[in-house]
Amino acid sequence: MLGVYDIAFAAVSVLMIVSSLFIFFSRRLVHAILALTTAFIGSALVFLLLGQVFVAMLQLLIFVGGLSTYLMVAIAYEEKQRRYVSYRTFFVVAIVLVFCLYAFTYRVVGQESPNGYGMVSAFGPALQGYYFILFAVVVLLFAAAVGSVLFLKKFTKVVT
Amino acid sequence: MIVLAYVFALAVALIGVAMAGLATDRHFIVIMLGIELILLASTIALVAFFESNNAVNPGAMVLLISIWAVAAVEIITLITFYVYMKFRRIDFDVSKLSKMRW
Repeated sequence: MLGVYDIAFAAVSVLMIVSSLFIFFSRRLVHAILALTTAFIGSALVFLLLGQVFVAMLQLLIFVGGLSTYLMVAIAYEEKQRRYVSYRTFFVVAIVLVFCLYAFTYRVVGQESPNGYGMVSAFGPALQGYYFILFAVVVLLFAAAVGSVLFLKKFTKVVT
Repeated sequence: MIVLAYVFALAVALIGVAMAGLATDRHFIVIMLGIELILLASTIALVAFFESNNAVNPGAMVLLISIWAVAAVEIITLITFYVYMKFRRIDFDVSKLSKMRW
């Protein structure tokens, strides 16, 4: 007997696989990035269905809200002669999304019990252990990212 | 409750699609997006694996954040490469890149 969660997971799975296929089959880069963003949203929904609310929120905030927007702005800036969505539609969707996010935060995260944070409760002790090496690697990677941005800034200054 | 085997199957399907795209596509940006998709599938598999263990596993969160960091850095470097190649008018077809060809 299929439950609601199973049906929701099946729908999210189909959405993710179709959007991941669309990354490679779309003709324009912006559409591929939109498909990747859809896959990010789908993964956040999978985390929600698995009961990991905090991970889902992080996935939404970091990848959908941050990196996908960053990527979209960078690509759309170069292809600024094409406009894909009207500003009115954009703002309507943004307002609806913000409202839904607030409602979700109030309903789900706000009512969670103190002991129900799952992976978060294990995060503090892990920082004190040998996993610090992993964080050192992460810091090194971010240093590489900052270096690439500085290189790009210098390069664009030379070109322009 | 979701059967965790299905979640693993989803992660495997995503990795399969991404690998197929990496193997067949020649556009540089799309290849980088495919790598991003693989990292996304690995986070799904990691969280499913964490769910399969009832015991608290601190390594899972650290590994998850590490994967997120790698994915974030990949997007930043992707944008850097994109702007650089666009400014230099370098073709995005990786088969035409000759700098690293031997």
